[in-house]
Amino acid sequence: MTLDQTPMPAHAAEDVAMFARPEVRHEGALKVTGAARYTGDHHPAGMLYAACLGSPVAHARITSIDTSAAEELPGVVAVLTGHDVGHVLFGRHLRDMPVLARDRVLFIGQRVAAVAAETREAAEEAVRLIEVDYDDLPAVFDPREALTDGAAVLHPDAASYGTIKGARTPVGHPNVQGELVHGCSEAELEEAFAAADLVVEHTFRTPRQHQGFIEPHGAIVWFEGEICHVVSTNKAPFGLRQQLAAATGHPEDRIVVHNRFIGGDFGGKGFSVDEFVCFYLARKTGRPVRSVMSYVEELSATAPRHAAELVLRTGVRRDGTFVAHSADVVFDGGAFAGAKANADLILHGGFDTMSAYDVPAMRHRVRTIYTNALPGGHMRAPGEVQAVFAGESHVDLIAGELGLDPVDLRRRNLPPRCPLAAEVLDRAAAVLPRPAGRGRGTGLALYRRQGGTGKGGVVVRALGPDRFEVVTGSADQGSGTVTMIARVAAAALGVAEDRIEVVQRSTADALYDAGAGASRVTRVLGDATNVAATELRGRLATATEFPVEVACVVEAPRGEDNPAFGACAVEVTVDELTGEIRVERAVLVADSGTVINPIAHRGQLEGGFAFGLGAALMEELLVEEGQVLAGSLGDYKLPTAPDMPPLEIVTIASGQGLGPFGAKPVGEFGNLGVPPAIANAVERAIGVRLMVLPLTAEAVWTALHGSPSEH
Amino acid sequence: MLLFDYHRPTTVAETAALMAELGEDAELLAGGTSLMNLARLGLAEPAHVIALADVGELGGLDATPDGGLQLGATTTIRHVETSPLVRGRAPGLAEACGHVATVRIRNQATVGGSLVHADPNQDLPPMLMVHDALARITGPNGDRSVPVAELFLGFFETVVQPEEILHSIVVPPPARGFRAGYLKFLPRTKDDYSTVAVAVGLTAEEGRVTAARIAVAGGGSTPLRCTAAERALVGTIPGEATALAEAAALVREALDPISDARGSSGYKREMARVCTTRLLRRLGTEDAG
Amino acid sequence: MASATPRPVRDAIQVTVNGQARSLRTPPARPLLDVLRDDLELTGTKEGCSVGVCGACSILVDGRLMSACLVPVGMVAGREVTTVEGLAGPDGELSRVQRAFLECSGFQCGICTPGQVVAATALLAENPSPTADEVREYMTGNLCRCTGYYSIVRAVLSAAGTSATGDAAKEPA
Ligand SMILES: Cc1cc2nc3c(=O)[nH]c(=O)nc-3n(C[C@H](O)[C@H](O)[C@H](O)COP(=O)(O)OP(=O)(O)OC[C@H]3O[C@@H](n4cnc5c(N)ncnc54)[C@H](O)[C@@H]3O)c2cc1C
Ligand code: FES
Ligand code: FES
Repeated sequence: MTLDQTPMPAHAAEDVAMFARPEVRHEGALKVTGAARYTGDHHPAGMLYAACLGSPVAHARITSIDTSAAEELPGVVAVLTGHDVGHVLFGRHLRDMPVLARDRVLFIGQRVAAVAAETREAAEEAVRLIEVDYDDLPAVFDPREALTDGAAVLHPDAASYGTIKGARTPVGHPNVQGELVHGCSEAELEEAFAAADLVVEHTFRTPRQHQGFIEPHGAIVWFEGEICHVVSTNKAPFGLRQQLAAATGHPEDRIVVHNRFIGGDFGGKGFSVDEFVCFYLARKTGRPVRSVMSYVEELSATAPRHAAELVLRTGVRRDGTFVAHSADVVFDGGAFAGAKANADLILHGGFDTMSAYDVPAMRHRVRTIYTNALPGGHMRAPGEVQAVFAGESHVDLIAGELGLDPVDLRRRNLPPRCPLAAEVLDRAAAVLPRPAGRGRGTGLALYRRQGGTGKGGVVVRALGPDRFEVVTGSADQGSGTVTMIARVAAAALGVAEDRIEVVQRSTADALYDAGAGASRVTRVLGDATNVAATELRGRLATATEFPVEVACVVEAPRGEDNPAFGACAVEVTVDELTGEIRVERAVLVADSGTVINPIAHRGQLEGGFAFGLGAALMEELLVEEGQVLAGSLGDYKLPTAPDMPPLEIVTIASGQGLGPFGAKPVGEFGNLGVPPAIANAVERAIGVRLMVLPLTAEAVWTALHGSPSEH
Repeated sequence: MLLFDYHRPTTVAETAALMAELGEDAELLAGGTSLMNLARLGLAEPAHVIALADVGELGGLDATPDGGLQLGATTTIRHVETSPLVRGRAPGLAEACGHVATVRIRNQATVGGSLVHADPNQDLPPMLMVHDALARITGPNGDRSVPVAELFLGFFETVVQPEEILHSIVVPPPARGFRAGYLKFLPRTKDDYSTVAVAVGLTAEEGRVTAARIAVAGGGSTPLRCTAAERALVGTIPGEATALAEAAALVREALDPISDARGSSGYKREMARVCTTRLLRRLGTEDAG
Repeated sequence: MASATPRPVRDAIQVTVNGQARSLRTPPARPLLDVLRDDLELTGTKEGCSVGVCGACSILVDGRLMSACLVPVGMVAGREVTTVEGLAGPDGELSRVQRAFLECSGFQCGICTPGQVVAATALLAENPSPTADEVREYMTGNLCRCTGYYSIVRAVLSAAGTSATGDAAKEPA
């Protein structure tokens, strides 16, 4: 059965009570023993190692490629260039990325040639032996500059690009990837602004940041006759299958994706790069080919969080009521738009600058722009991290202008008839009283998130009267999907959790699933499981022969209203002589509906907080003239264990979500509010307002003392 | 990476003979934490590697009869950090070792590698400098002894010649009333190279500083001794505010750091000043150990 | 007596891996990590950063915590290497540390977990009852992008049998 608007099955209280018990991860034993096999752990017989050559220049014409020395190296089986592969373009939605560059490269790190060899050493050495001549072209690195007349045009034949489905929405300037305007008309907006007592405008900037998963992107591709098999780090197996088919022309029903364990995603693993080149290497050699990116490549050739510039303007009445708000959000899209999954080719999170508040007149303009740098991608709450940093800093600045308490200002502007929002805000504010003394301050950020949507299905099967399996095509990127499905099935069937086995199957043997992402798994797959298991429970009463199975596909319609409120509050101390910010303690408040996996739920929030802390204080993927400056995780620093402050988690289990049993999404909830909460706390501690991420010690110091003198 | 040949000598004489035979094609390998990284990135491409791990003579951590220490070149940083002997005789050295990377790296990285690698951001060199430590270097023409303070020539460059082996480090017995401390400024995460780091050694008698040593990591192309600042402290009361402010300002003036992701040059100089001030204040209130 | 210039290592490298004697015929320059994963099929040890930062490749060499990505396999000749696969009991029963990680969910995606488990094992061998701060300090070199470390610290303290008081992540009062 397929349901658009799933009816919510009613369940007995004792069945639901099991959710209060802390869960033990079903796949946990495999993980703690090292037996869980990730992409790079597979080693099919006859496997070759792939390595790729990246462009050293930001924008250039390729004048010649000489692969002869590489081909002659012992152990090398195949060398491919763009000419061998042909004009093959791929992408998650817009197909604008060549598998290997043919005549032009558009960013440093872009794949130019690839090798398959018997050993890792030979593959890497062969790449070094490939000689490429480039003729430099004018490059553009600043998105605003890319929009000026006379700026280099990165994709002159953009009009000819295909998408995964359907035609591309035409755009104005050739360097625009996507543009969307939301909200009231300009005239209405100006009228609303005219009624304001005060209009404030601020500009915020956020940098590129890397997802920082510990497992770099990787892929293994092999052919069995006409069937193309893939094991890869892509967290959305069905999406990858579709992208591979669209790019290569290989029939979708002859591509089988077997992705199971994913070593961290954070938005970055929906994007595939070397799956495509492995496809061609495998086809050419007739052998399995494995590519695992080095972290140098991971940092320079994948798709990190978009850098952004956000100009926010808000009109308020003297009593603090917001009357008008506009935002102009420009994302640096990098050289290709192919890493973005949506048809608008923007980050919809950019609209969330004031998502927690009720503002009568709002207008947002969100653009993504081509520049000669690595492509912009998705990273945990894409666009929204940038928007919430700007918006929640902006709200505190407005409070300052009006002389109002920032919590009171927020409370005044909450959506009407939304006691949950007020509760979230008040709980966060209550935990952290305003401390006394210079150098110490508290700050808070409030946000609202829409849960993810999309389609997904499971098959729930009774193998006997008290033994069940649930088949899913979903990959496990760590959030506890398998355990969630098992618990939902157990509750719906009214059986013990250990009666359920969840089996992850390939794309050939499971129902379609849109893939983990946008905090949608519990909403969609949980619901599908709930509906199927409930139906199966009904049938069991009369069942005499086994197996009995029920399949269910759920589609959560795009735009469905499934919001959840969250808040982050922190207390910081600032060392005024060094500028160092120390988060002394923090609290996260999440309105989470019914919690199905209490431990994983808490884990998502704790991990999200750490993620936000890194984004706030230390993470910046520096890119200079298109060159990524970080060569390893030694340069791109992630938070370590001693960096983590005491954290309190408050969940408001209201049972009001659209997920199974009233669950709400939580995956992108922990990180969102951390940067603005810290920025707001810093201002209260020392009177310094930082409007650029990350909030480095040097930025604080400079704001206090002026630019340090050079020698 | 290039698959170098691997040699496992067991004596210094064998090592020297191999070095003479293989010449420029060979690199010494101690813990390998630097060399393996450089080889993987293609930044070092030795055809031969001579592993020092089995050369017993180069290991060890011993008390010297005069009350000092001898650290073999292949002694690990973790060994120095956790050695009760070091904690007793040179606690500042144990402190600085505890700031090198993480336990996992300290278990593998060696004292010799830490010096010959000569990254100006490393933590051990400044602390050895404030202890007036000496590097014993063995070469075709016999042994020589070089103060650690004179070991460094530039980024990744020392006076140790390609045909020479760093044999050991001798830490002289601390003077009466000597105390040392280390302040590593880490504004990003707890596992990082410092933005800047300061080592200070102070000797005080009857309430006056009789000798001072200040050395800085991250302040230029080599770890640096700041002699002007040291002189400014002699004769002052330990921890006295104006004296330490003056010395700290002189430290700032002595530095010429590079700007990078860990901070601009000017900021690093200012932070060296702040760290020096704080460390001098801390040592001023500490009893000599 | 050894000759003045001994030959480079060409013979098989003798090493004990997880209690089993192994004779490895491979270039001694290769990172131990590649040999473990590709030759010995011990893929529990993971490769993350490849440069000694992340700890995904944590192993024990003669009981000491090291990075398999930075160890040339020649260096472990004659030594004893323990990987995550060597921690469980003979019939596969989980070690104390593994059990604690499982029960406390000291993992999410699991890619860092073998390294965390190995590092925690090394820690508890050196310091059987660490404080939360000692756990964090010792395990600084084991990055986890998923958990924020809170559940990892809980797991290690639970394995040590020390209470989680002073643990950073608290339940609301
Ligand atoms: C992830 C990571 C983080 C780090 N963080 C820090 C940090 O925070 N602070 C810090 O101070 N350092 C840090 N380091 C650097 C570390 O200290 C050095 O890599 C290490 O000390 C080098 O020692 P090794 O024994 O491993 O040297 P190797 O890599 O074996 O050798 C390094 C160089 O020294 C030469 N050499 C070694 N021994 C001798 C000898 N006896 N005689 C002559 N030449 C010799 C070698 O030929 C080679 O050129 C870090 C390193 C890594 C990998
Ligand atoms: S892979 Fe060895 S430490 Fe990261
Ligand atoms: S569990 Fe995913 S990185 Fe630690």
